[in-house]
Amino acid sequence: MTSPPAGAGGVAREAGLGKRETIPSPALARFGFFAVASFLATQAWAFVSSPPDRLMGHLQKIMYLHVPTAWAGMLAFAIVFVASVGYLWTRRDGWDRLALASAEVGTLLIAVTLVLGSVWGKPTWGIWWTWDPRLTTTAILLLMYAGYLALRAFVEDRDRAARWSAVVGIFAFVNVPIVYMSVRWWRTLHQVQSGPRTMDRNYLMGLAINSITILFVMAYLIARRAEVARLEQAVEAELEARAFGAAAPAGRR
Amino acid sequence: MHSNWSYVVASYLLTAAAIVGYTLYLRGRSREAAQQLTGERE
Repeated sequence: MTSPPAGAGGVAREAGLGKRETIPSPALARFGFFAVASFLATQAWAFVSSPPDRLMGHLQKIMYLHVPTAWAGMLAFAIVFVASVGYLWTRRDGWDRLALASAEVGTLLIAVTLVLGSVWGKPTWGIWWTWDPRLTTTAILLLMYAGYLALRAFVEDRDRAARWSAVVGIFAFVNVPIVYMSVRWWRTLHQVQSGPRTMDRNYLMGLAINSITILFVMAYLIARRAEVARLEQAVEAELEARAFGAAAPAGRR
Repeated sequence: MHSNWSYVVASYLLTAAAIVGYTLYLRGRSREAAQQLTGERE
């Protein structure tokens, strides 16, 4: 945790950095601890309680990571969509920060999903990667949101970056239902979604609870990233104020 | 029957590295921003 020293200025106070405040806030830090602890607990429970699969053996345990990260990643992109609409509608910075944070966390989760799928695919399918529709559409999804983040990084004007990225955030979401339906539309190598009717009970509960606890981790990371964005915007405002303050006397000379 | 523990262990390690690494990255950025706002004023 970071504690700002006493004597923080007006911009620091606007950013939520009072004398006694810490980063992250105590409530967020507690939530982070809860999120990680609950995720570790449900992973451990699923790991220990599930027997090896008849065909996959212990490789089945990768499902407790691969599937929850995929669902959480797609949910994060749904938040980007909602926050982007919210920003274009209201032009409030809070929506923009939420969109940015969700895009970054979603990109991380989908990248983890692809890597874990590859690690599972090598011993199961005999290959690290194939241009299967599910894998390909997911890779395209990752590239789209990496592009979204690149756009934000390269456009210097913050308002313009927020506007343009909100438009991209809305259109990029079109690919999420395509990824979800790809295993049904083009049935090739990747199996279709499993559900209560098709899964063994031994595995169903482990998957269900890990799909919930990964959401806590996702929510914590999004909140932390949004907090960083808020601080950095405050720094930007502070630097602008300093530059303006330095330029004003020079102008008078 | 396959055991393939190395792939399972690799999956957990990669996931942990991603989450912990990203959390540390955010921690570093928030510290830097907080210092710019408060600690390093001239």
